[in-house]
Amino acid sequence: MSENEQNSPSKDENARNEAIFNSELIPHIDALFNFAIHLTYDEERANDLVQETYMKAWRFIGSFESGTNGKAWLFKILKNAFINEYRKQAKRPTKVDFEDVVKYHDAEEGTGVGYLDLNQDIFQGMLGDEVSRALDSLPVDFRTVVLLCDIEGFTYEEIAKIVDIPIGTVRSRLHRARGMLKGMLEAYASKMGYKN
Amino acid sequence: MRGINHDCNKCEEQISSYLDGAFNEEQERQFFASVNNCPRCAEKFEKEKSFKVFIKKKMPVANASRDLISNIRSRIHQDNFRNE
Repeated sequence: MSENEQNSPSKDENARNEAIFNSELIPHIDALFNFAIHLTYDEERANDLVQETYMKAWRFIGSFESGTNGKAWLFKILKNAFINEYRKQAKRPTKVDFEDVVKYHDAEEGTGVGYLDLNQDIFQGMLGDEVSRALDSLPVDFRTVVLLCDIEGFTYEEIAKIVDIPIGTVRSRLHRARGMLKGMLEAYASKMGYKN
Repeated sequence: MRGINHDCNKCEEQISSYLDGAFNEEQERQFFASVNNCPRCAEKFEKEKSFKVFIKKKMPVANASRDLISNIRSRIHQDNFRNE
């Protein structure tokens, strides 16, 4: 038996892994795609990110314990893939963490000439609601915690693990992000019949 | 009427924690005892709750295409085939 054969999963293992993959990981694909599109503003790049996330999850499925939090695991993989994509874009060979990406992204946004801007109009055409526009105008770190908490319903602890920040930072980012959103959306929310 | 020990700033911080499901039963009980004791905080609580519902309800959600799902499945089958 070759070394490759020894390390490869058997047919039974593959069938079991595929069953776990289909029942516990694939059901989160819409949530992942939604997260990816709010990170990238671009359908093609969001598709690539989600595909990369699932391929990585498949390669490491042996380390995934069935019945545990597959959704949080996938979101963490996608967040890391997003960081790696930025590392390639920025051509920076050194270690990059989420905070660096946030700073890089915000600097790009600030100049008004970042490559994300090229796709922003198309993206807003896809999700052209007032709430979406307000959310997507937030810096990526604030946008991320709102998406993870208010849209996906992750706990503070799960968000802290996905984004690699302390729980206190999750709370403070959420507080600031919601303050910014309220500033932009209060009049609209009131018009739509919500209290303000 | 505000209770003797009521702290509006602390109560305000707790509103988000409650709405985000971060409290256990005992913390929830203490939170409601506090928020129901102050009309200003009760009003703030209703506003925050309403805003959270508003964001969740009004946020358009983008769904993955069928092509994306079939591409992933096909790559996995290729991967399995290579390993067999």
